[in-house]
Amino acid sequence: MTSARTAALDWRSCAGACVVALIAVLAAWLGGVPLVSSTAALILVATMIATGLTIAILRHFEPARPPQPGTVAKPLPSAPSLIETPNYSSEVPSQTRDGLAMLGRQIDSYRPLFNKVKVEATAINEETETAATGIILRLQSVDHAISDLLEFLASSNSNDKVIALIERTEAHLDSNRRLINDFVIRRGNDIEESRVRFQDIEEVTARLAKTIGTIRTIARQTNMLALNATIESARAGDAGKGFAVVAGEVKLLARQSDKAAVEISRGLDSLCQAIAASVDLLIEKRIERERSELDTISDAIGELTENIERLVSHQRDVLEKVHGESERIAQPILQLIGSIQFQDITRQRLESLAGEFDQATIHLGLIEDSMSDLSKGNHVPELTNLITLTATSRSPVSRQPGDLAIELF
Amino acid sequence: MSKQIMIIDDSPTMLMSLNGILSKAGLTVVQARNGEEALAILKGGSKPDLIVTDLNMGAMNGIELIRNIRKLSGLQFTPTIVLTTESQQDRRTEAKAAGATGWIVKPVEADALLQVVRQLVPGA
Repeated sequence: MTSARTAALDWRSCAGACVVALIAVLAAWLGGVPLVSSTAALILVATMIATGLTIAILRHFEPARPPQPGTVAKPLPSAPSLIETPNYSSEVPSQTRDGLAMLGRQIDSYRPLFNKVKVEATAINEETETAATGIILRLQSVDHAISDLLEFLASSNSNDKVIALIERTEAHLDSNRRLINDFVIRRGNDIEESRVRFQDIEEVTARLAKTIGTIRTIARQTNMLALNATIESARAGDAGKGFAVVAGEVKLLARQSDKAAVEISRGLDSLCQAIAASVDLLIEKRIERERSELDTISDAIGELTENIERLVSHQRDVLEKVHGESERIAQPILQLIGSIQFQDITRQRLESLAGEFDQATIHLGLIEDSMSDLSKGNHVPELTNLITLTATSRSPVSRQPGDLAIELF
Repeated sequence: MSKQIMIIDDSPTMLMSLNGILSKAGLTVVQARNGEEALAILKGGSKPDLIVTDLNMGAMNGIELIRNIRKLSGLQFTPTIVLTTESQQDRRTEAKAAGATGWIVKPVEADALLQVVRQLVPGA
């Protein structure tokens, strides 16, 4: 009777622990805890249930041993020791048969749970495999895009092409600047040449002025001769009247010659002044203005060249940055593609867990059969094997400290 | 001409991952989803420079596959690596006895895998 009560208490405490654990698992599940963690918790629950049920069954059939007087009741011995010393009764009371039937129904209720865990594990495998495949494809897509970019940068050699173009432009600009400088120099030579020619004109004009002075002197002397001739003709009386007329004409010619010489001299002065004014206005000032404008153009070309050089430098920096960043991005992508292997590890562990649940289901069936045999008063052989089977089944082994990750034989 | 690597794994994810790493390194990759498929490819005349096989994959595991590969003409000395989640010494010893060249525990980083490949396949 004591043994029966103890067994009932053990069963109730075991069932209570199982219910609490189940509630915790369900709460974790509903709260978003990853399925893998929930699956592990379910395995723990299942193990507790199987162990509790087995102990409860075995204790139920343990022979009653009253406690010694004056001693405290010792804790119940562990299940293996009980299994080693079975003591079955050939006649099974009806209360025991009812209890065994009730335990059988309880065991049976865990089959859907185990099946659900297995189905969930399979679903997790499929979902993670699909997700991992998608991730790899996307990573490969990014990787291909980066590779294309790097290949384009390498094959098109765009940086060198731009640099060559800019260098040609710079050469053109330098050529233009040289042409402008040559033009300025030529214009300066033109000015000098114009000055020399003007000096030549001044010298010719001076010689002409001297010639005009000679003409005027001749005119004055001619005028004096004409005056003398007039005086002499007057002395000659009537005989000199004709000569006086000639002398008057000569005098008139002398005056006209002097007047013409004066007018020529004035004209030459005006011409010299006009030429000087033209040289000053049309050559010097204009050339200076042109030189100033050309200097402005030359400075602009110089600034343009500097800007182009800065542009080339900036573009070179940009291209190098793009190249460097692309390579920097490509390396982690390769690492990420490698990291996706975690899915295969998870898959194998979940498959192992599913296998464990298959084993647990089989064991539950065997326990049920044993209970049925017990209720009929039959002998139940070697229950310990049923319990230890699960513990000895193979599961994926993670690398332990000291194990080589890579070993070449 | 690029070196050829054969990878055998029943996990599509692993095949994609390994293919991505090896292809990126300029290697030619031949894939098989199990030992039988790998043997069929090899018997068809394929001569990879390196074979990387999973351990647990259906009817024929990686160690059995290596035993079969070593029986094929021209493949007795082809470097063959076992790539697996398992790490036990007894399994490693078994693989070595079967003719495996090395043992790599999953997950393997891309750089580490390529280092092994270059060590076993000169010019890779």
